[in-house]
Amino acid sequence: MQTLKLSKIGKKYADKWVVRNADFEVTKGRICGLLGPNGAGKTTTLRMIAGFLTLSSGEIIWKGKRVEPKDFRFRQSLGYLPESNPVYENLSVLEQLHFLAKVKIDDLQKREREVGRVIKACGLKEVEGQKIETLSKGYRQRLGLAGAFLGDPPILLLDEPTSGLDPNQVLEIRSVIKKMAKDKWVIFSSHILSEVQALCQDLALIDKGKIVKTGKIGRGGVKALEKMFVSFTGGK
Amino acid sequence: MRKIWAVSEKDLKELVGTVSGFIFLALFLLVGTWLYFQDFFLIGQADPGKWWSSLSFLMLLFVPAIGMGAISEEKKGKTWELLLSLPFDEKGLVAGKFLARALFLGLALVLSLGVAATLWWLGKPDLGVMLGGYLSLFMAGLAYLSVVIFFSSLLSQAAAFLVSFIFILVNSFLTQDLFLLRLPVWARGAAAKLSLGHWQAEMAAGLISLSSLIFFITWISFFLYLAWWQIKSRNS
Repeated sequence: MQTLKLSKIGKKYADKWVVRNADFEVTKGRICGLLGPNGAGKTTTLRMIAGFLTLSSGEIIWKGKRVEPKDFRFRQSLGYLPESNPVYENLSVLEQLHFLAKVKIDDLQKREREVGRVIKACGLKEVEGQKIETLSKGYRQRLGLAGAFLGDPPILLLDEPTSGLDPNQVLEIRSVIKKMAKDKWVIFSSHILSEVQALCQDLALIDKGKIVKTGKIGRGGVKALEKMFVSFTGGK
Repeated sequence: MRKIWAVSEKDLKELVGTVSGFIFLALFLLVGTWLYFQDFFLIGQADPGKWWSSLSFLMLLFVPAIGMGAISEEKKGKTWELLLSLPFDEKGLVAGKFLARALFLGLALVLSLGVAATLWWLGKPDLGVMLGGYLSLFMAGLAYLSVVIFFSSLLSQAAAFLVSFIFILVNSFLTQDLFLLRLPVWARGAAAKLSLGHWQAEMAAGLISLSSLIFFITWISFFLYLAWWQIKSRNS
């Protein structure tokens, strides 16, 4: 019952299925890596769960109950970091977080508390008054994560959060995710095998809009993961 | 309402606190005042009608300028994905964007009251005409704004500016003899009543009828509905 289950979810545009019958489970406390080549359907899958796109088929079941991604109560349980980490360049770090908190959290005192908490947790204190347009990529990514963590949502959807970062920044972001992801349902989307290997315990491999493999991540390291990735996604 | 206000507040900060917003506002006021006073002492008349005409003409440029990025910039920066995965929907987004720009337009009109006060002092025009004139400008401005927000949901920022400017300009021709005289007699009244200018002129004359209010409200609702529908259509 402690699962987030995607049951045959799909997205269709006109006559074309972008994601079809995606079926996998995320267990509480275990990070699930949604792995796949570019254009495989990872982002579309996360957008459907986040409610940005409607489901063309299937359903989402959380803790044994069917949930509707459009439902505001469900959305309050979600923290979503979209691909490419969209931010409001003209705002400061604090302004963006306060803005998101106002939309996401009803209680005024909790809002203030949460902004303070995520700033601390994501190491943003020293740049909190700075305009976002002046931030380094690493800090921007921390800000994106801080926005997703606002309200301490039990479900986290992270779409390629380490993409484009240098190795030091990757390690920093990884450590923030590990710290914040405890006892949550987390889907971590990536096409970088080493990232999935380092962070995730479970795996859902997607290719051409279909989930082609699910399971636990073995101890074989990146090599084993690479072998599986190539064999299931039709590489050579 | 809190969430809608959060979006409006963020946009207002961007409109008021950035150089471009300040320039739009300053140009609106300075050029409007210059247009009115350039031959003021030659004519020797404190005619409020000419003041409304100057501001009406400038609103054709001012309103598209402040509204062109309303939705298009959220789409371009992908921040709409962030917003629409929060407990927030498309209606709130359109309402928040509209409210921010309506307040900014209101601010521009309030700042132009200096000229209106001069008119009042010099010519002692009828109070009803003065109030009707400002209300007509504000209602017409809101109607323009709804058009710009719709095109902003559909097109890029620059294209939204151009297309809404042309749309509003063409609409204003509906009251011109050049156009009306080409229509059959029976259609002329109906065509003129589809023009914002017709209702604006009626209000500016101090005649605030229920039908003119209904016309403006219907117009604004229709275009905001189209914007909402356009944002929703990302799913198809």
